[in-house]
Amino acid sequence: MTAPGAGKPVTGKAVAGSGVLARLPGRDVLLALVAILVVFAASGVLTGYQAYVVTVVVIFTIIGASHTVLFGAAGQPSVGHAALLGAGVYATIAVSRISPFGMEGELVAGIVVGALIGVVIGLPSLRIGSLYLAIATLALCIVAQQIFFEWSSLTGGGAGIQVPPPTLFGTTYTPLGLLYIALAVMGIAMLFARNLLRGKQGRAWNAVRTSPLAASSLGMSLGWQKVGAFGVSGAMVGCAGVLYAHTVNYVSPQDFSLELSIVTLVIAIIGGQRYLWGAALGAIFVEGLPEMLRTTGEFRYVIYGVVFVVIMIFFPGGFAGGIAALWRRFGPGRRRTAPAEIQLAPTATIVEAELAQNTARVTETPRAAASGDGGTGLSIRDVRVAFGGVTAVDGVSAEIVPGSVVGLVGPNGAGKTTLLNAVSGFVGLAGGEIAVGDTVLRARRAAQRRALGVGRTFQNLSLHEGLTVLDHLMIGQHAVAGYGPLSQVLRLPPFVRGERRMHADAIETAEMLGLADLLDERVENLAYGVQKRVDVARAVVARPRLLLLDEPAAGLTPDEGDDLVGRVLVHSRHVGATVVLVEHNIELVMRVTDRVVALNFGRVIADDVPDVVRRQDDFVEAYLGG
Amino acid sequence: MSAFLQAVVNGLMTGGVYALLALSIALIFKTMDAVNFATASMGAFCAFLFFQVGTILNLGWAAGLAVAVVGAVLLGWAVERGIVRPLGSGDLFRLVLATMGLDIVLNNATQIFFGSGVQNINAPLPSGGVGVAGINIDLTRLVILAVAVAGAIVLGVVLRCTNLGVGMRAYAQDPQAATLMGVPARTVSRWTWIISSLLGLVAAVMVASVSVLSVGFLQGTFISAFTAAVLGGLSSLPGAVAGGFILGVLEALSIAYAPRAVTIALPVLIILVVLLIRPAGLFGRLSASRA
Repeated sequence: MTAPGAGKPVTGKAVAGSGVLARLPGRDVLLALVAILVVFAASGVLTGYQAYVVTVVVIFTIIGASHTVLFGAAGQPSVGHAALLGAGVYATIAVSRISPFGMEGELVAGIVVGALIGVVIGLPSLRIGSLYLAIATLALCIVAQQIFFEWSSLTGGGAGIQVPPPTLFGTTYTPLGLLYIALAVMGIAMLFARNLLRGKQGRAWNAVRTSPLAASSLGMSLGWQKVGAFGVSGAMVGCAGVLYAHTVNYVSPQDFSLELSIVTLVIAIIGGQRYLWGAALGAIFVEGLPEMLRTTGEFRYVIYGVVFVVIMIFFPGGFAGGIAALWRRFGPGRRRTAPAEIQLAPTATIVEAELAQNTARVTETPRAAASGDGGTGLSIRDVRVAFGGVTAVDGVSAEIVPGSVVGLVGPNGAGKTTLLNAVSGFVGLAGGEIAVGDTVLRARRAAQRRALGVGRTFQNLSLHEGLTVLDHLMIGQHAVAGYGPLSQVLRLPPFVRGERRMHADAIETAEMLGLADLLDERVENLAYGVQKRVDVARAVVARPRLLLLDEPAAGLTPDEGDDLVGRVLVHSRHVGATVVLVEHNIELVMRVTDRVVALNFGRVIADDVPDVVRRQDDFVEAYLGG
Repeated sequence: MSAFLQAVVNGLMTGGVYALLALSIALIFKTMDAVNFATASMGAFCAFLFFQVGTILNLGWAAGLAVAVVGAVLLGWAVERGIVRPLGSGDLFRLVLATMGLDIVLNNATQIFFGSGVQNINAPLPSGGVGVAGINIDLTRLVILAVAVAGAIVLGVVLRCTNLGVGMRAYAQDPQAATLMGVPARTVSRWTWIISSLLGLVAAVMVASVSVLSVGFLQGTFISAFTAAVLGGLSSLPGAVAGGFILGVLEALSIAYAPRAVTIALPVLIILVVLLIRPAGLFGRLSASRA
């Protein structure tokens, strides 16, 4: 295969910036470190009160960043963060009472308690959607505050309680010392979040947020991804709670109100919830500036409320989103020419020829691939799917042998996509069963499919808005990343190896589908035909053993459609995959498949090699209205 | 037995206000798919207008009512025009978050305009109580209940019998189809917010009549009303009314018979139980976009 992009620089790295800084891996960490050191250096001239304000900003930066993980990446807003902060605060007080440890023990307790509460409040997401979960976080916030009020032996009830002075490994710290501790804790927390966000886990959260359907077809469990994000977010807020307790000295349950929860969310959104450093900007704006200026008085809340609403309406990306957009537009790495569309490969004819040859070979020995390494078979046995009173799929059986390319055709409403959705686990079965290879599928467990090697594309494109083509290709390999969260956070060798391998595979697939020049383009800026390719690329990049293509040529010109289907089928032969092709372009289907299954009104009306189906009376009738 | 009945009666009377505010929440949710977190502060702001003009400026109740109604209509209109419409449809959460911002603004604006003091209200409502079959019925609360029921009925009539109301219901079911059929989306959206704002005003005035007038005085009622709306299914108006009365009675019963902690945690328990067992509530339908 000679893709048009081969030989040229394949990634956008070559365009992005020319200085040493731009090429340095982890330059974001370096910049963050410089920022922290600047604050550290400047801390000497701060008055006690100013040091206090800076510490508060640092604390709210951590909390804002926890929303970056939960809301910015995983798409789940929470108005329960005051409860998590309170949990960290009272964990601090409990540890200082019952144990000899200082902040070293309190931080561990705060993180553990915060993470646990986060996970528990996240658990309902296994059953309910994100809006209802947001309501549940509201409930958490209110109930937690009531618990704090009632649990007066720990919290001092309505009167509040004094927090013992901060000690770390036996040394007691002044407010300025506490600022240094807070800076260190913030640095570690931000690094932790940054490492999680960059790599498999962050991509999964973004995928779940931007397209739940596609994410679950790629093996991500929507519920558990959110539970994880809640746990991480809770841990970050828990450790912020420890710092908060020592900074304000005196805490009472009134502090942990719904308003505080909302303020933390406001910080994240004003700053820009998609960027960790946005949390710092938000915290400076909301907590730092008014305290430093001390001029706005009671108007301060009105002002930041108005700013918040204005940002929601006009700049949903927040400060950081705006700065990032300006940087892209005017910064040193700005794009000089924007490639509008990909060219149709001159290889289209070659692809077609190769395909015809392959098809001929398989048609001659239809079962030849059955025993070999051609992919995984699919058994559909008497499957019924009903929506209310309407039976969309009514007793369909089909045996799809490994390595074959099977066309699934039929008029609109015949049940093709419904059948595909049943295989994907998006709809439940009213009867029958579906097996991939030897494994009978469990209904409504879409994420199980990917583990069995099933990949699919979507008729109505299910792309991840705001993410680049390369992101899509990496997201497509979620299930085969080969490393866990621990490796990712600590950047251990399995992570490095896995990322390198996935990146190479992404480039290879991009070249195969003619996307190599567009890796750094955001998908919403691409033409429809190109988006279609990205959707296909995401499905094939992890080399599924059974590939379900839902109308890949729909909406494309005949040439584009031929080209795309041709490229995918060649790739599938190459890596060994069974293909089920749902497509309205009958000529295309007849040309490239080994077998055609035709549906009408939810039943199979024809099932044979293309040439036989083509001449079958009821097939012709269903299609041409005989 | 009479203690039980007394609790039920008390609960129904509290429930009326919950139902009214829950209607305000559910109406927005039904058409906009969003929870309006500024429900309480919008209502409270208008209640301040009512009482400030009425009592403090000594212009009489009628003038207060007129100012408050105009204020509520303008506020609803301004929110729709200034926030809801520019935000557009699309991201489900942006409107919810924007109402949180609005809540902050309104709460503090109320404080700046009207001060942070706590005022007792001498509402122009009958006071005292009457005994019926051993149950004491507080007249003020009875009037409040009557107003709440009347408000719900008026809303029902508007939604069923006017062109606007039918358009609103059609829009709530399927905005796109309704727009194609000639339902003016902007008018529907505008009036949804204005009516919701008026409901908030009535509920806020009722609550202030039996408690006090201070910044954020409606927050507690908002939580209860929100619980009632969740219980009724968030998008169902009859559900919101039923949820309001059910919550009022449950609350009164828990005050009479259960430990304090149960009463405090009641709204939250109800929200969690409803979300986990039947997220669609008693009357609602679960739409795919929210599932």
